[in-house]
Amino acid sequence: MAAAVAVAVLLLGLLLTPGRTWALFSDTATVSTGSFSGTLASPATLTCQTEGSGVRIGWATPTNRQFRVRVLGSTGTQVYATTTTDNSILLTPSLLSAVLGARYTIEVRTIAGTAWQSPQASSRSFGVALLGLWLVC
Amino acid sequence: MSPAARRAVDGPRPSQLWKPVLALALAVLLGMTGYTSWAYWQDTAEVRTGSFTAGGLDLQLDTGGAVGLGTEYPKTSIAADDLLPGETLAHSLTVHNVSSAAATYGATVQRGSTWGYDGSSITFRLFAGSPDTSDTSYPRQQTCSGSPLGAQTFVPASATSVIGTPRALAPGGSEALCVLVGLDAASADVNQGAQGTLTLVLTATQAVG
Repeated sequence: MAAAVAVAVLLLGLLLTPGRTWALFSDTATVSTGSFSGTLASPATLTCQTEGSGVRIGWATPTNRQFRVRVLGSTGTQVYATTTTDNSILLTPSLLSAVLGARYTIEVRTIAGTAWQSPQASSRSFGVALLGLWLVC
Repeated sequence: MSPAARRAVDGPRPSQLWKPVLALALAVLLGMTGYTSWAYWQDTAEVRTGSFTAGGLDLQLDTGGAVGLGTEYPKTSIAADDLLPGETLAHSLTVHNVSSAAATYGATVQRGSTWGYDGSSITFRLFAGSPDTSDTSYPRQQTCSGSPLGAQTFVPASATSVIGTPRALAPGGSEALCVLVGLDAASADVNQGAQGTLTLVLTATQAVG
């Protein structure tokens, strides 16, 4: 009983003893970074060359980017997204358009993330006729 | 001889002498203590110490960065051109406690003096580790080794802590940090061409105990 009382008194004494206040030195170091700029370059001028029964549309820059290719024809518009970092796409006109003759306009934009696309698109046209025997960029 | 004459010759009896003797002794004692002046020799010895210079807690960055109290360290290599949605870039930053006292430190991040992004674009996270910058092809998704010191956050307009628990730094100790900055994959198209800088503030406090 006496020991318990002694421990209680000791604990009470510790609780009632005012805590020491320490003055602490401190230092602040501020890092100012360079600039983070977000830009998405438009594709360079498109090249066009026949390849087999189709036409290969290419562009040199930018590299390491993803692109969206729109093919505008007389029968509508088709959109292709390059899933790799390819810098060209091979377009093969349909048999019907090759028979009847058609003219296509290709637009290529750089895309990134879920929303970004380059401000400008590069475009190029090519025609097909004579059962595909006549292809001209 | 009559009895009266015999008493005069004999004087007062001893039992009657103590009063005058005591009075005399008291007078002598009072006279000695009250009126005697003493001369004292003395000497003065002066000790002149060396200088007591207050120590300083100095948190320095990289090699020779932020030397001194409250200084700024422009680290322009923490930057990115042509940053695209979904990309993260890792940068190194080393903190040194060059003082002789143990310390703990924390960090906050906020937008710098230049800021053109919306609030849901630039992400920030701090790691205790080193950067892996090997991924340089689109989309660049560099990483940091080690453990994250806090949650990833969009860079806020006001200072926000990016270290959950203050980090301990021994006297003369250092720690390698990795700064991971990214552009969120869902960043809106209006952020194209935007520019922004970051301000990272590291505050060290002397550790007690």
